[in-house]
Amino acid sequence: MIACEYCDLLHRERELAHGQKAYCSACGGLLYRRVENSLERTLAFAIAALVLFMVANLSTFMLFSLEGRVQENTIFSGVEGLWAGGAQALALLICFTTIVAPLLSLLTMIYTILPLLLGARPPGVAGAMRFIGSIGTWAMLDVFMLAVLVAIVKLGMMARLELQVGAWAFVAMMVAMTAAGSSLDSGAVWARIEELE
Amino acid sequence: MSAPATAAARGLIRCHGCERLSRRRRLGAGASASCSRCGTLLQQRQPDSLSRTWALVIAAYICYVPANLYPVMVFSRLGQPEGDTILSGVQVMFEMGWWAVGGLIFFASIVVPMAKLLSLTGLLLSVQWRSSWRPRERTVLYRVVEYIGRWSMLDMFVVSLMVALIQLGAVATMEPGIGATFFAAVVILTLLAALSFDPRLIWDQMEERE
Repeated sequence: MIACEYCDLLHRERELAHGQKAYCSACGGLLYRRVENSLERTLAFAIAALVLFMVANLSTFMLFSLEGRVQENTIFSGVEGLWAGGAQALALLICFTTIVAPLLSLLTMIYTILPLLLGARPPGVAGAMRFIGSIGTWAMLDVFMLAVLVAIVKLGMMARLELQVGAWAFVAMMVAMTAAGSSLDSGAVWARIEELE
Repeated sequence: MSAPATAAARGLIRCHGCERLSRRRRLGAGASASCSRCGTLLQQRQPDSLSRTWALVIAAYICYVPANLYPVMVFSRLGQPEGDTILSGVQVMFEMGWWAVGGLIFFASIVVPMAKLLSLTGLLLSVQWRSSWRPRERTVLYRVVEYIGRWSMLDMFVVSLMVALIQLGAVATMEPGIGATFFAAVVILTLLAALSFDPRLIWDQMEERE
């Protein structure tokens, strides 16, 4: 039996085919899903995203040229600019949502799944799973990318903006992170833990 | 009619850590029960969901006023500062003929935060008034609020990019305005409010009626 997270209605669990999802009959909320090789897939996407994270944050994000001056920018430049401009709280928030939260989310996924695949239960796995569930709201890679497009349009009149390696790595990281998140089936995690015990 | 088959009505508690159902037991004062599988504290509903959500929503309404009155960005050209609020920023974009981008910012920065605050207020009032009106639609509304809230950060990211890019010393600089901090506070407070609201409360009213 499983209870819907949104309306508490009880449902009998049924076998699903790979890639299928079950929804609540009362409120339409997602009950559970089944992903083929959920743990392996999540781990693969999370490691790929972590590599891309490093590329995205260490290389140039975009080139900005205005009146003959060319300026290199990284993701962190925005944080520095806000901090220097006196909006420290906002700088911390931007840093958290574009850098810290995605990194923590990826590291927690790897921390949880890698030991499980190797046959050990990582300490604090329940907290880690809850953390993965709640940190997702704060990792705003997609929102940031849309903001980059808006900035390109807004500044396009007076300056030239060219996306660099860092930006493409950022987009790829966003895709890999989304794939990791949607491959993670918490049911598979707990089934694996029960198997190990 | 028989009681609806919810976990609570059947004396079960859903663990919010691992989703396992546990039987509810009578506990002595000050005692608590944990999930047998993952050890998470068992709670039938989110604790103090209504009062916590109210507090966050009211704080968000308060921050909403300076967020819209004060400039989010201050652009100085040759030492002449010129502030843009969220609304005037959108207005400028429409005047320039950037309909798509202007519309996007209008939606993310003006429509979404307001709709979110009003929706949360409506949901809170409906639970408080023990309404049995369209529980399914109200739950869907909650999920939309939960999903869409983060997109309000869009304009704040745009501000951070502009501030980083436009630094031409004495010629032109872009600085964050105080409105930006308040606006970010509205986004954070409403995100936290959505997380602290327990949508199962909508359905609990249904059971009491039957």
